[in-house]
Amino acid sequence: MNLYADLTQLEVIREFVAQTIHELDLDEQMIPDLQLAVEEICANTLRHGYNGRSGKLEITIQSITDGVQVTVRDWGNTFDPDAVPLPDVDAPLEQRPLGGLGLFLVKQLMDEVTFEFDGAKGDSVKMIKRVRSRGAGS
Amino acid sequence: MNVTVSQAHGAVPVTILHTHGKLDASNYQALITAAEEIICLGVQDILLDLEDTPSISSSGLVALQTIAALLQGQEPLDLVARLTAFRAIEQDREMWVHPHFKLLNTQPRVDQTLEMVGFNRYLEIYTDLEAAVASF
Repeated sequence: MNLYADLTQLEVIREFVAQTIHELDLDEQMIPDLQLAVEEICANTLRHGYNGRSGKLEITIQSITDGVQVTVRDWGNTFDPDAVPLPDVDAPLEQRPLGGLGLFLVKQLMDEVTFEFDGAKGDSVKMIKRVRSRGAGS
Repeated sequence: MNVTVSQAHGAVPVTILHTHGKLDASNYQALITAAEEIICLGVQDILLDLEDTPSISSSGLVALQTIAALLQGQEPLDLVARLTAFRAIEQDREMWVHPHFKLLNTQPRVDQTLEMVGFNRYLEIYTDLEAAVASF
């Protein structure tokens, strides 16, 4: 999926994720986690990579041996994931800084999250969600 | 997502904000604005009804955190009470819950997200409107 997106198109992106998982005949129980993870990455890119303006996004979803791989590519400002501090999820709300939970949620929801930076091809976030075999522990 | 407002009366008047639709980066500001507007009118206790909100993103969490902070800012200027509260927090973080901002009828996906980020320990969640209103 290629689109010139802004934040108002998050629902379109969520629909794309659900439809593609269905078309690939993958476990539909993964859909909500994938939707939220992709939404977080796209929203983060539009806010910071494109400074709140619309920008080009390329979203690829493919079946892999043990699950699904989703790649979100953009051509905005490069995002440094190491600059995002880990949130203290035990701290009382009023003692926490606002925000900073998006990437944390993505890492909680996905089994692998990797970032690649390439000025020519665009920066990308690759996420892998593995299918749990029946009876396996979480 | 849109926000509607209703009123209930327990020991104190409680304003209920009902969200309709997914709470995400495109609309979380509308929830903050709705809360700011009623807080400006003097509302001190808010119950957020999330029955019609199937999911919440990190932006939605920012809205919840903002409303919680706005309502804490409305605490009476009782320094002793505030210091006591903070000491209590330090002594036992698990015991402290927000006294003026609570949640109603959260959906499973929302529960999961709240749990992942630890918001469920500081925001009480009710499944019964009367009990929720009576808790303020």
